[in-house]
Amino acid sequence: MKKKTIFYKNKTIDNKNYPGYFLIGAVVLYIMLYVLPGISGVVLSFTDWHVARDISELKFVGLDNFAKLFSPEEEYFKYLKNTFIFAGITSVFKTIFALLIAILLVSNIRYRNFHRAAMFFPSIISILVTGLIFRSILHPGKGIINIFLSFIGLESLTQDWLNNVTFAFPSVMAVDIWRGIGYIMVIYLAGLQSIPIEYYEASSIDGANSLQKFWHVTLPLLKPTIIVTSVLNLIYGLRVFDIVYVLTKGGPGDATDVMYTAVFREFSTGNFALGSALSSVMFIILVVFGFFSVKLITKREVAY
Amino acid sequence: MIQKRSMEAKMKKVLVVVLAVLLMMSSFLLAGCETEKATDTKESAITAKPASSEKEEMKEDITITVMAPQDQIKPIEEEVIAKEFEAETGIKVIFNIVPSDQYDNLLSTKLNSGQGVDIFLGQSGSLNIGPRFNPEKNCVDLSNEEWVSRVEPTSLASTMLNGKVYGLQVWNVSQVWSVVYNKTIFNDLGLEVPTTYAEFIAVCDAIKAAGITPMYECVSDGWHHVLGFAELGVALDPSIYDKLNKNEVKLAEIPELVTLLEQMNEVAQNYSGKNYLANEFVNGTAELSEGNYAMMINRITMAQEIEAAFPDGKYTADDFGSFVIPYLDNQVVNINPQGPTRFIFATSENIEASKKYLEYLARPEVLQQFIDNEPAFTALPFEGVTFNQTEQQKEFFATYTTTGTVLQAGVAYIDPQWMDIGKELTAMYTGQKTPLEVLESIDKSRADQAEAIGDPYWD
Repeated sequence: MKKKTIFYKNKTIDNKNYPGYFLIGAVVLYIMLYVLPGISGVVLSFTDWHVARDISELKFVGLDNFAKLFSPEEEYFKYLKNTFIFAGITSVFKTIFALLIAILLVSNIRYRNFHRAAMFFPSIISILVTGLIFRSILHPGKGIINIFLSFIGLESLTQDWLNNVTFAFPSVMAVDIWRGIGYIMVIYLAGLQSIPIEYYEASSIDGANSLQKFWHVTLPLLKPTIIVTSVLNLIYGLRVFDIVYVLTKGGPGDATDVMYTAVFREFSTGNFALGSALSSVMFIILVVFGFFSVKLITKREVAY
Repeated sequence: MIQKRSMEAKMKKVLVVVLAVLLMMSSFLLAGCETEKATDTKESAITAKPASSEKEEMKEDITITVMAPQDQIKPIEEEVIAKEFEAETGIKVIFNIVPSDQYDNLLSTKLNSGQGVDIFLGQSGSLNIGPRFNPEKNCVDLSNEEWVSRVEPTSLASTMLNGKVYGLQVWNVSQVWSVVYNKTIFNDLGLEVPTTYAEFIAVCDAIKAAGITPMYECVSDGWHHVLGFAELGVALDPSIYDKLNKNEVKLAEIPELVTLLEQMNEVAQNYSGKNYLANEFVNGTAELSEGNYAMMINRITMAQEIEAAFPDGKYTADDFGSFVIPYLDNQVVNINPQGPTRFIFATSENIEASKKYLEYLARPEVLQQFIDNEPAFTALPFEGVTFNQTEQQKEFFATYTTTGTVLQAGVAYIDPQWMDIGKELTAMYTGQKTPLEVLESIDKSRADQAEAIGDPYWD
């Protein structure tokens, strides 16, 4: 019997057991549910689609929407900058805190599982609930942070955390870091547990102290995990919408606006074309970013 | 043997291809059904009235959902009227109440995606409902309903587009947003009702000196602080609305508006307390009842609302009065024929039941029930109901006799961007924008909206 290769040219895949046409169902579904809507979004960003206009009257306007996005009169650059700042800062802090906590919780401390569960807890609360809780915690008059600060005599440090231009964005990022640490911590715990104990024993015999063990054993062996979590964190950060929306809705003014709050605003005011153009820009950024991060991860996998 | 296996393989292959094709066909069919259903409902909305009502009567339990921002569905409707309606017709009414700051976005998203509830509340206004809701596409035409003839003409006009009625307005549109003030505090401090902005500031200074925060402002809801701007359209030259609508003048070119924003900013920064950005509208009654604040921009009937919510509060209805918002030395009463209005979604599956509910709400005895039980509804824009004007209202309208139309009712493309104007004003309060930049930004949004719907004046 002659073997046929339908989808794969790669010889390592054994197409005797799994013929290529098995893929048809999945590919059709994938194209219909993911690729087509994605492409139609990009196509629509070249039109003048608006709520007040019927879809049959749609006109192609070329790059007009993109020209508008990048014109100096508009604020979209600021939102893009905010998005990158958000993704960068939250990723760094989530990584640092999650790693520290994971190292603490991998050792044999008392009530270890309770501590792990407690740290993971913020990640399983609905974002809406997190938003409501923190809106009350950060309230300038009734919030416990300000009440506590006043109580210990530090009234000068009290702030309107979510409405002050200087503090609003850091507050939103802090809440997101608090929420995201647990999830990242779990991945680090798995990574730490997979490091064989022999390396630590060997380094002890060589006379390494804790810091040296961390630097020369834990960190190098944890590198693949750190790369994976960093990519997860950054992609999440670039796509952020919910936590900003529930806490500040992009305010005060547009101090905490990120790309997806802007997209949401354009769509809800009926500027579908502009909203699509914004999404397309973000789509390209995420694709480029995703492509390089996948490269980075697979390269590491080969190395180890 | 080999032949048999290859036959089997072939059979399998055919089976898989057939399955895949079936899968694709079924998904297309499903999509087709969806569209058919949508067109069906729309058609039934316009023409096939008797057929669908018959069908609905046959159904055992119909539930209609009313979507509204908080504060716009009054307890008397939710707890009494809707229940009585259910007892009479068997149609259950569910209220989907959404926080005010998220409502506009949510409603637009629902309208734009075509997946609505049955009835939604939205701000009326002949200039407003077109660009905001596109009722010709999204709402059911109510022109032939019995109650239409009983609606007061200006209120009716604000629910109409191109000669068709789309909404039912059960709202006290003779309400006026005024400065509600604590008369007792004013008397104790020997203060008079201000008639100019300078006098108003002097009053604020005196109250502040007495250790009371003068004005209750609440920015976090996103809409309340816009009132100071939009309601004060009455202080402008009346001919300016026409020029704004014909795009002959821009908001940023009107010097009074720059002054207005400067004055609003001054009051917010100096006389509204530390937490005005985080305050919420709903807490205003409590704060005024306790005497923590002396004034608030609110409806004249706020006095009755305070009394109803806090009968044992430090201050009650008789302690409060109202004066017109005195920014720009204004003494003209700001009238707004627009107000929260009920519209029926064109894609609703319960159009007849929804119409029945509106018909029920518009019955004179039900309207009277609203007036008699809801402190904010001292009057409703219908024939055949007895008004219940409060002392504060009588006093207010005896003092101020000149009336004007507010900006959002007279100028196009203001009301649809109400929440965005709120965002701009917050940027001004937090020092990110100057008053002129705020106005320029509102002008830009107006131009965007006008161009998007092809307004000839913006060509």
